[in-house]
Amino acid sequence: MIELIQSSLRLSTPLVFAALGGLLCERAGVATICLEGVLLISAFTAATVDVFTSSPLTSILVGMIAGSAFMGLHALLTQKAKADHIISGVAINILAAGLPPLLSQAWFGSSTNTPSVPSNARLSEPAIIAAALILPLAMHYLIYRTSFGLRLRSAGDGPEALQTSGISVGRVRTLALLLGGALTSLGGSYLSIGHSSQFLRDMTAGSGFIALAAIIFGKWRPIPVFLASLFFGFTEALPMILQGVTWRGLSLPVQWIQAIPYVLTLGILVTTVGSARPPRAIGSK
Amino acid sequence: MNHSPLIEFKKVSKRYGSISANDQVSFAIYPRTFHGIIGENGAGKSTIMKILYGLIKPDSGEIFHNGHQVVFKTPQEAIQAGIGMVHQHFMLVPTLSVWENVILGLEPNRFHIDQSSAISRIASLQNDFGFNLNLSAPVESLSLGEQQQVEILKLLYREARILILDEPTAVLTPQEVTVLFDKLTSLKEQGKTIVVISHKLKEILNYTQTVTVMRSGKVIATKETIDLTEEDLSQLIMGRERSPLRKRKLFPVNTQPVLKLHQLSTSTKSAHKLNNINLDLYPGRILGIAGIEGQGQQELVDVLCQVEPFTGTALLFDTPLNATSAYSKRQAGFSLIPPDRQKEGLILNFSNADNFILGHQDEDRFRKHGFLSPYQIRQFSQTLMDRFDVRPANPTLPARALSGGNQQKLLIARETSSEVKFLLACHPTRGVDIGSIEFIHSHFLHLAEKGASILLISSDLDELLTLTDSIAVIREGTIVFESATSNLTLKELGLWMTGAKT
Amino acid sequence: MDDWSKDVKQLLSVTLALLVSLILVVLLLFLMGEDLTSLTEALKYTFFNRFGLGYTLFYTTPLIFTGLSVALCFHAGLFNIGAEGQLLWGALSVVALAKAFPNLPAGLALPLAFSVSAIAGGIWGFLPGYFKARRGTHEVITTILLNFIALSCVNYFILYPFKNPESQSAETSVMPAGYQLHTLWFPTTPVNASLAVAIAIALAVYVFLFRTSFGFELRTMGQSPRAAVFSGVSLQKRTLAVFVMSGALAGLVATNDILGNEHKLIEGFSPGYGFTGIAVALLARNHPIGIIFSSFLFGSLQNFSRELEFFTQNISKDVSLIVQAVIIILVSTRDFWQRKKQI
Repeated sequence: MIELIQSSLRLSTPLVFAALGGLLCERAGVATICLEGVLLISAFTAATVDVFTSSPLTSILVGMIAGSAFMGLHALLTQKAKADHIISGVAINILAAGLPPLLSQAWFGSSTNTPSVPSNARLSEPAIIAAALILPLAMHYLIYRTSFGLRLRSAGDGPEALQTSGISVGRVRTLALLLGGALTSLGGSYLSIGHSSQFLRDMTAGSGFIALAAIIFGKWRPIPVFLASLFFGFTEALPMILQGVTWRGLSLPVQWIQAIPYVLTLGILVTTVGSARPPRAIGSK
Repeated sequence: MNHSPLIEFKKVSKRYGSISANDQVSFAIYPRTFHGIIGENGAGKSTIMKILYGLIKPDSGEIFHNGHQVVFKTPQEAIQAGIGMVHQHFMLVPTLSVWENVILGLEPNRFHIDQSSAISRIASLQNDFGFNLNLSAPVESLSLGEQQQVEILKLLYREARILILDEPTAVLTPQEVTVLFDKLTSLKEQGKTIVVISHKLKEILNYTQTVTVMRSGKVIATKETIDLTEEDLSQLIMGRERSPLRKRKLFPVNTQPVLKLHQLSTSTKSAHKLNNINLDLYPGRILGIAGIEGQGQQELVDVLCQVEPFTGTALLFDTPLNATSAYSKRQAGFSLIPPDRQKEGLILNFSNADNFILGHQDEDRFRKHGFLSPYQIRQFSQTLMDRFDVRPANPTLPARALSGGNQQKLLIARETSSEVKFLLACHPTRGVDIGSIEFIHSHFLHLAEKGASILLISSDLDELLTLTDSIAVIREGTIVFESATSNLTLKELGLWMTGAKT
Repeated sequence: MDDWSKDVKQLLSVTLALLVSLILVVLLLFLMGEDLTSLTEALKYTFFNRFGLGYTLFYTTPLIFTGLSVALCFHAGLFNIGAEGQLLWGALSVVALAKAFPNLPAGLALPLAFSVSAIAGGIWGFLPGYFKARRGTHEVITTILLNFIALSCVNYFILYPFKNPESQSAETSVMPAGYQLHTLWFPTTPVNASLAVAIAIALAVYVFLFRTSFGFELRTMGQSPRAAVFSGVSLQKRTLAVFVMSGALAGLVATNDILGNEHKLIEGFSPGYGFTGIAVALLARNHPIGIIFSSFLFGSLQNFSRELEFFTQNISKDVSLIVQAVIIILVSTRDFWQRKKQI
């Protein structure tokens, strides 16, 4: 039982960062299916920097810069060049899927993983998990009690009003994306050098999309989104528990077990969230 | 007037292609006055104010503010100079509260917002100017009249000295109009300068001190309002006598209704569900639906278009509405002019020709060997565009390339080309130029003379009063009042719409 | 005149996208200290000999199917990011069919296999359509989740019920002779008759979209759902139908890879055809005929990156993903560049 809670927390952590980071972007009116790509690229960057520096702090910072840069690209494409948000997100996901193996092959001679780092070069798991637990409160404050939050909500719900009151919608959204990218990257870095000791190809395995589902399930509000992320983390922990379980000598095939989080996520989305109201101007150019 | 002008326009011009939106516009606005700008749709009233406000760049001409030449490049520069504008479409964030909307963009603190001090500051502001809004309510829960007050409060919070309102009464009831103009008059007495853009004679005559009349981009006259009568003003606006709508030959009485709604209700979660609607519409008659926006008009349209489920009886051409398909309904003579022609009636990215088959795509006349024939579709649309004088009459252009009036004519051409027995027309002349309005109105009379029944949903009460045989008032999803149009006055309609009379 | 200049502009922007990509690749070779002759070798084995061209055409076929699948949904204003999952079920169903009826003659087996792969893809496509139409769940998120689920399920079948007991790797047994589409035109390469089928289907999709009222209604709903509703179209029914059709198109990918080449289902056989389909559709602006050509382009890219990996020391074939992303970015911002030029 304790084990289940522990691994739920561990698996929730990247989801919490990605979901709350993505929440910031979505509340500002930018659709972010590129969360997956940002997670992936920050995980790879942090792992790579860690190999060379053995400094987890430097690694996580560079990881955040890389993730922010990718979100910055999303901002450039959607806000400046007026590209469709989903299409831009798809392009970024493809880019983030292609870069790590290419670079990893060039630098480390293997396109499937980066070298493992020693345990003293890894992030402190409790510290990151603690940060993930405090984050929702900070986000609540930022979104509902600050002038930046006011402008952020306006950019998502009434961009014309924001623009006519003299604030650049593009700038507010870009800022939200950069900040959201940095937060998401904390989750990505945690995946590679906190939870694990190296970057593995496609190691995010859809966490970005599950985080997106958590945003929808949490109806775009920080605390519920946080709770939804915890829940989805729990569904990801289930397979680990179920893996060893046998019943009358039969064990569940690992492929079925791996599908559980996705099936549960899909089931929850389809059965409960039909009527959720997204930010009014989401996806607008 | 012995002041020097607060704002002065000198020979300001703006062209869009071959059309002159503003042609050598010159006039002055004096401080602490109530100034009206009047003209028909497309006369250039909004354009000149948007030029002042920094939203549109003029091609030539000069603007003076307090005697100094100014060029505002953005609305923010105009606001800093004390000029504020309320747009026709409100610029509010629906989910935010009133106070949040007011401070948006000019928050009292850099980062942390102290809610209680912000609220008390706005509360004292609205006290000073005689407003009484619930500051913590989300804006989407307010009536349109109240939302307009939020817009004005926003400008006062920014210490605007000149308030420009673009068609402020388009969405208001007659009673709300009175409230608004009383507020504006008292603001003027507190030292503000008020500019109202309108095409309604009575508002301008009753409240303004000075009026500038515009017609096809030019200033025709700027006069003291006291010196003008309604006839003078009308003459100035039109440049000719307003041609009264011809008298309609009434279609013979027929007791079999085309449309019969009996105890009709809707049950969806929508805020304005219909409740026990009873209506009968007879051949050759025009029935108007009056009401404040969002009282169930949309739901009524949705029910008749079979988008919204309902309970009760709805008979169209003696057939229950839920026992018929959209296709067979159209075949039987059902036509529709939806409320939003650009999103619901036309596909702006499609060619004019393709727009002509929208809703008729299953009909054999557009096919050859079972497949849609672009040639036949083009031929058909060319004929109709010529007949209805849609310009430019080119079927291959996208509908986006047409002006609002021509888009509406295209829509009406499509909907009334085959035999019409029942026409559901929603705001058919909204945002349409005066020439097209006359065309549309006389076309409606023509249809009714041939026996078509028309259900006319409109927020333009004058249109309802001139065109219909009877009017039903809808409020909170219920028909609260129905009467023959000849017994009705504007004022009485307003009282029923607001619920002052029940 | 208008149409003509639009076509030229389109051609120019595609050329620009390709040029940028090529420069990127050269730069990469340079940075990695690779021999530049590897580039010319790879190009030769993509376009300039029979063997290379054969493989390029082989990679073109599945992209025509997934490109059409994505484009059909795009026309109706819907995103199908689930072609990857739909094509997996298509592949599995063909293998299952062969297992159930191993002795069918080719004349019966092949048409049946085509139909079954389309039906299986269509069923998986039905799900996001149903969720969207009935529950209002956004199709982007559901199709992505369904991809993961399809992958797990199909892998299970490859590893357990359908596993080839004699093989060390994760793959099914080879299908009987009746289920093998024979290669055509280019000996020793796997390009096969399903390419002709793909081109024929692209033409059919064109006629469907632009010459039938059903297609007209789909395009109407893609432009303005309200206008479609008011013209008497049921959005729910159309959403379901278009997703089933999209899924069926994606399911047909199996005919190229399974019937035409490997004759068995190997774990991870699709290098992301479903996602590349998005790029294919975008580049062609969702035009069915254009998709044939843009599929050829991305098919070449697929083959080229494979060859590049072969001829270089340290470049992995994932370089194709980078080029894909660059092309999507350039194409999706095309309006922006054109606006820039006007100012």
